[in-house]
Amino acid sequence: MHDKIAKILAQLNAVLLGKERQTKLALVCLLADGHLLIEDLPGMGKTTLAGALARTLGLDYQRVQFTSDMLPADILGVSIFDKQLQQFTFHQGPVFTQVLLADEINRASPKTQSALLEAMEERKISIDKHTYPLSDPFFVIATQNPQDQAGTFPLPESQLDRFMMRIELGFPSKDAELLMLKGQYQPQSTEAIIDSLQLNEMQAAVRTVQASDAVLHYLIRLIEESRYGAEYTNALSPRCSKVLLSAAKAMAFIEQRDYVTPEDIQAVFAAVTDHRLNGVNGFKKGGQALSQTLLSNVDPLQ
Amino acid sequence: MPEFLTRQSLSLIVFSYALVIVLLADQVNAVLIIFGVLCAAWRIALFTGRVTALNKIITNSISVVCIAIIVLMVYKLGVLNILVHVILLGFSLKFLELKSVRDVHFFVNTGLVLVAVFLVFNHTILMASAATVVACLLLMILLSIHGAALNTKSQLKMLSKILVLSLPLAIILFLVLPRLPSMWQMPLQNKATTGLTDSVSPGSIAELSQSSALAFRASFNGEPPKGQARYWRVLTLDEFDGKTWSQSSSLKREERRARRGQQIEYELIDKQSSYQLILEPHYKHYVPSLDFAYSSNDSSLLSDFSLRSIDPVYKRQAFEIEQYKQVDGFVNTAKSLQKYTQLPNKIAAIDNPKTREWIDNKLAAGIDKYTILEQLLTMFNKGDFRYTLKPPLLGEQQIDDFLFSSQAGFCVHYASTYLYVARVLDVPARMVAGYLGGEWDNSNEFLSVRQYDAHAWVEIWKDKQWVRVDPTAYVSPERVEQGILQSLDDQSEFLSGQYLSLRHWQNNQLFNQLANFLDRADYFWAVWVINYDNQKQLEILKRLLSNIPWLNLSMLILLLLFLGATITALWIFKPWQAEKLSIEDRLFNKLYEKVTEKYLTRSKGQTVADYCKTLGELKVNAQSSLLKFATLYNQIKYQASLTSSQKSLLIAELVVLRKAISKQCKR
Repeated sequence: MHDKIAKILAQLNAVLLGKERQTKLALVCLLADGHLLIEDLPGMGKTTLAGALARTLGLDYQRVQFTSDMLPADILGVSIFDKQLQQFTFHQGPVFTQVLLADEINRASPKTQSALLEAMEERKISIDKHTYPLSDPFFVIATQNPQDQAGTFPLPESQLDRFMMRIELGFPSKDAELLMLKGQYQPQSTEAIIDSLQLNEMQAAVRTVQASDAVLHYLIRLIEESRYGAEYTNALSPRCSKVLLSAAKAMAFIEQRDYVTPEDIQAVFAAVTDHRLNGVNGFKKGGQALSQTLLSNVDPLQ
Repeated sequence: MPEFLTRQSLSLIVFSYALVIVLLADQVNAVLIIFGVLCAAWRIALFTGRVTALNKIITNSISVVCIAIIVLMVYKLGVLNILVHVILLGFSLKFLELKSVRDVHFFVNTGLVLVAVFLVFNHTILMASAATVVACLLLMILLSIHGAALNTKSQLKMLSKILVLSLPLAIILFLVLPRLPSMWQMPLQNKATTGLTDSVSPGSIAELSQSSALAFRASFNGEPPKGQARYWRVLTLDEFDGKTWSQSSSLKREERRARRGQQIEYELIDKQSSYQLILEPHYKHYVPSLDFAYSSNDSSLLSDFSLRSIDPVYKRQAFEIEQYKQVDGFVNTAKSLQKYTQLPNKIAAIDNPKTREWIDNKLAAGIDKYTILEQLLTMFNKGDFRYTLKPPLLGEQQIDDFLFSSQAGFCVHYASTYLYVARVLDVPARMVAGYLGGEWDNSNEFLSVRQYDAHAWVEIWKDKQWVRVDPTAYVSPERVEQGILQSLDDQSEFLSGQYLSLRHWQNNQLFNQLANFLDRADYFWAVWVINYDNQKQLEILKRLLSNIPWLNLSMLILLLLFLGATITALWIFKPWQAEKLSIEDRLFNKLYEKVTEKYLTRSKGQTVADYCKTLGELKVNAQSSLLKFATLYNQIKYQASLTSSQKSLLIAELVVLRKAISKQCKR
């Protein structure tokens, strides 16, 4: 199983040059059965990563480009009267897929954004008294532009909380960009390395990773710090502590361990908590991120 | 300088300072007290803003000057006195730099030391209570500073709560703590408070100094002696220079020998009873005793039958004394008796002509010399002689003067006259000074003998033994039977002028009861508290121990030591507060202590593995071991699925690895 993971990572890194940390986190997020939010400026490779991820894991995916005039039905699907059958039939929207690539999610109106809420949390949608289960696995990989760009609606805290992780890609290194421009770098065709069944197995394996009391106490101290420290305006929710643990477990799994260490928690901490700590204000430009302040305030050795 | 003291704190400080000064007023030089009052006044002025704070140089120079003055004034008085003066001076000068809470702590602690010093000099229950009050006041200062938020009532409440809580500890310490002998020499000069002196000149005393101060208390095991038999012998005066009776040099020599512990062989025959004396401190070696005494405490019997303690009695001290009917072994040869017939002008025979004439007449009439002495006593009894504490002064020929003209006096006058006549008649005779009588407390448990019970009587050598004759008894039998108050014709003479003494008001029912009550309390205080010494401690322990068969003394001491050590260790290390570190954490801490200063400090949020990795980059030769250490550490600490045997294997590995890393990091 682990060599598969190495292959997956290798392939992803071949698509996105010099972003090992981000690709690893993205994979962690999917292994921990969480939704991923990729936030960065346009043209940084957000969509490329999302697509590569879906393809590499052998999942079928739908891409939806969010716009400001988009309606919930455009995502969930719509019931249309069928003349032959003399009844309404439900036409599934793009959400009925394994990976939903929600491109530029913050361009859509809050109404549309909230249509995703139930789908993301409950993994089912309800339309016209009918409840339709979504496929398993089901991931939302959303990309988002920074909010200070024109024509964006900031995601509300409730919806931010449903994303397990938010990652930023950042500019590529000079060497990677040079390599890209010279055209020497030819992305190989991204092929599926595993299928969705294998992914399910991996997710099950992630759930068996152990977390000792020591590491759980460390995690709880971190969460508590966010609740009692003065500088944190948004405290971390119990849901956050739950997903933090699953993410850490997935990280441990990727690192080929069957137990969680504080390093795992620290590795995923920023991605899991930054968007929750900052809330609608988005990430701060410059200065230390809140998650880093929090990490440096809690001693793992206590 | 902002004022940190509240008005309440400062007044408490000044007030308790004043009380400490009052307590120690007897012991210290008046100049020192003036210094202290000035310092306190300065501090109050600083509080009210009338003066400004002194700088350090001025404060220090004032201190140095004061210390120099005081030491120059008292350096002759012995180490303890110098010490008391210097401490009190420091205590006073503290007013000049009462700038922070720490200074107040210093002040309070010094005050407590001074209260303890006061208790070195004073042992009565009244004084102990006074000292306790002052100590409580000093503690109250601390409360008023640290509990400034509380009002006075709750401060008092808290103080009493603290005192009550600390009481059991105090009792345990009192019972268990070993009593050490004092480490200083008590100053002996100017301290003789006894009503007895080692020389008496009857002619020159116009008024007997009376003091109601306690001399000693006695409690008897068994039947107490009757009034006539309560002659407490203290010292023998056997030398007469015409005016003054004093101790002869041979007796003094013997006393000095006794102090060194050498004593004459003698045998005591026929034990009669035993009693316990609780002697008030008088800074001399005297131990009053009934004839003939033996004491198991450090003391020895002199050839004149008086008892001497080896160390001066400088604190309330108990003596267990056995009374014997006879003593054997002190041989009095004719030669040794010679000194008891010594008179200064015997050969010249020009002094006291009237007395000599009276004797010569009797002798010429063929009367036996012992009969002459009896006739003298009859003369005292039947004649116009009067017992008074305010006798007229006697002239040059004092015996003549007393016998034939003034005919008024107290014990010393009668004793000395009788002695003179006996010695003229060549009968060996000596004066004995001591106490007569004493006063029973209400429940007849103990006898209090006061300084005004001091008495002098005579012993003459008759039928090869010393026979006690008390000439005063012939003048005033009440003196012997009932005590001094009843013996006085004019009772207003008694303790005249001492209006502050409760004894002065003995005729008042209420005061009398109060005096008796205080007396009793003080007696039990002396018996149970002051004289609670190592011996009693052992007794109580033994009594306790006999109830627990497996426990003997050495076991108990070991047990106590062990308990003490455990409590101290718990107190120091406070295991209930300590972080409970696992083995791997301790190993890491050990490693960390070695490398942190030299190489790298772990930031607060850094994990062990991360730290090891960073350190490995700095210290390349230890890199691989460090990474291994990190992995092992994480496994031991975080891999919950490990069995305990696997875990101990890993720990062993970690121990080895830590040592290796320490070595590698040394290079």
